[in-house]
Amino acid sequence: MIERELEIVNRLGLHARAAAKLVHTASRFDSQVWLVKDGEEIDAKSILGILLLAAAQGSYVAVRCDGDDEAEALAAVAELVENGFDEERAANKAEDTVESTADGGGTS
Amino acid sequence: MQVVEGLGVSRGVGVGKAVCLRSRVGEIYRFPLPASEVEAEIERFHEAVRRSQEDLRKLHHAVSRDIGDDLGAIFEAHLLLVQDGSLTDGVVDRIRDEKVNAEWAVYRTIEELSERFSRIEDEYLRERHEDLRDVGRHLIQALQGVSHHELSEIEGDVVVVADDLTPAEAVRLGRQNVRGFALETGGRTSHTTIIARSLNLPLVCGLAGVSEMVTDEDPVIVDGEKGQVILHPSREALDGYRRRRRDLAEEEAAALATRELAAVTRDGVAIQLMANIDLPEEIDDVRRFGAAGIGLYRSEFLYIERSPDLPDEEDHVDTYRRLVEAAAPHPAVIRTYDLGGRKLAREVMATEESNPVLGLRGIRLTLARKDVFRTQLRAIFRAALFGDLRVMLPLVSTLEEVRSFRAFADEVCDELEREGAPFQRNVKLGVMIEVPSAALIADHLAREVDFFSIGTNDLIQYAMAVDRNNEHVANLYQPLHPAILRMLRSVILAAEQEGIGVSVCGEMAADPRYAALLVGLGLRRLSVSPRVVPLIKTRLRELSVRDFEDLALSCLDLATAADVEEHLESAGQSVLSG
Repeated sequence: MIERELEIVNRLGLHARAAAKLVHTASRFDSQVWLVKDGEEIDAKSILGILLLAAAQGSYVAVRCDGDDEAEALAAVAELVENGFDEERAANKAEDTVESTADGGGTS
Repeated sequence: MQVVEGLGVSRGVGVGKAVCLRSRVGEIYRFPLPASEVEAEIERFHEAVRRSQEDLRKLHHAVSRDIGDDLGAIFEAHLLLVQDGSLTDGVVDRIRDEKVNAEWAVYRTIEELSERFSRIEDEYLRERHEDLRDVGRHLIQALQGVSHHELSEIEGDVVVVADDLTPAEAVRLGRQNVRGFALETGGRTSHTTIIARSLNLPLVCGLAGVSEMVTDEDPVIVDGEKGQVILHPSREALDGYRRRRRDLAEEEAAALATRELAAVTRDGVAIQLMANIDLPEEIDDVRRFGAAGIGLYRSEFLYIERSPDLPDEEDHVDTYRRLVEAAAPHPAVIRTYDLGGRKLAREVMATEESNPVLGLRGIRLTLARKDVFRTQLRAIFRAALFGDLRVMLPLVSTLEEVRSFRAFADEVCDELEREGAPFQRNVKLGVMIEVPSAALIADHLAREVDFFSIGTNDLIQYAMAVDRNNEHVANLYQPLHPAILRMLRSVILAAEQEGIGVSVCGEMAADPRYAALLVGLGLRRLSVSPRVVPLIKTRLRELSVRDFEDLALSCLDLATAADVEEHLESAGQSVLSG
């Protein structure tokens, strides 16, 4: 069994859409995947458990994996969490597009 | 005709015949089952889960394809919830242990889980229990074999009136001939609201009991702008709203067309047109409507939204950062909490005041309750690292208030420094000029602050001693009163004298005719609601400052508001067409 502590970096925390991505990622592996926060351990393949964990931005959760592909599972989950579930990147990209159009105007 | 007030969370105006949906899971009854029927009941539940899954899977695909992955993901989350072991096992155990019908078992299991959500501290995450309830309703509908509402039998435009509406229903209905939603529940961040916005349909929520007040096919008007719903409207009201709907659509198109144009008068004078922002949802409108920065962010809305909780420091920093980034390269002006008076300060203030409008509010409340305002100030100095953020004080009436605030601000900055927190000490400080005493000592104030923003709404009320909401005296609310114009002029001159910026952020700036007058009086910066920016910009681009200067200054010598109005009107034609 291996374990690693991660910070939740995306703005909305582990909300419904982020939780859905996490379930999908964890479910790709045969290993058991748990999240632990404040002494509470939940199955990372259960969206309900993840939502009830209520991990807001800036909180820390430990990811615990156990099974034949535990290393791969941990790496995949860690990547997702550390990238902020790709949300900020998507949001920034959208903003950049708006900016470039607005800049063309040059008000006052 | 009956007007029901709610909260407009998705904009626009819709007119149509009511379709009433009552879907709240309140009519669920508990039926005991004989032991022999328990396994069949469990199978019935599994069948309902399968049907819901299939339903949600289709929705997920359809929404992702037609509306976008972001919204599609909501249904993906619902799909995962409906098949989540901790939910389904909970229901199955309950059917088996209590020997009850599946509807009741679903209902109770969802209630219990929701109860656990209500203990979550983070507000946004706590609200996710809505997703769980939506899924619960889905399951119960599947169990009861309730077919989803098909609106195609109703001819013409439809307004959905419901006690509650799941995002799934909103999508399903919204893509038919629906023109708006009137709901008893919901809020700004609920998924149903987000769906309505992305479908570009008006939604008013928080309409207590509305689904009991109408019957199918009654005409209904949903006004997402005013946050109200009109039941049984008169023919005139209906016609009026149909017109307004067309106007809004045209306005929107015209507005977006002006976005790229500069706010420059015919004779080449540049005017900075900034945006007044109340809610985080409006932040995108700053760029969308071509505003040059944020001239007024009414931070008390942050407090009102979180009420009864106080927003924490991170809430403030997060919001201010977004404002500054949206305003760049122009500034974003944060007005400190303008609480007290008519706005709710109950949670902060335990006392009742006999005359709150003249009481402990604005900067007075800030200085009296530093414990509460410290959080906001810390956030302002921290967020100033992200761009041109400025701070502005409401309801200043004396110079001492500015000095006390500076001392308080220094104290807060010292505290941040001791903690080693990253922050920016040099933040420009401005004051609202909205109390006549401040207007009359503007020359002194101008030496101690970096900018003025004239709040015409309060300035007029305090100068005229009139409450504009009081119908008996509302006619005394006179923006064109010579006393007001003289005050404006002297504040503008005082600012010019000291070389500091001055703007108007009251409603006067948002009225095209008054805006022209303000420019004539010497203002070069106006701040209005983002949606009004295009209207004012269009007006400014057709006027010549030189013509309006003489006209505005000649108004200062007139005796009454009526005289000013007449003077403007008689000159108006030539100025406009000239």
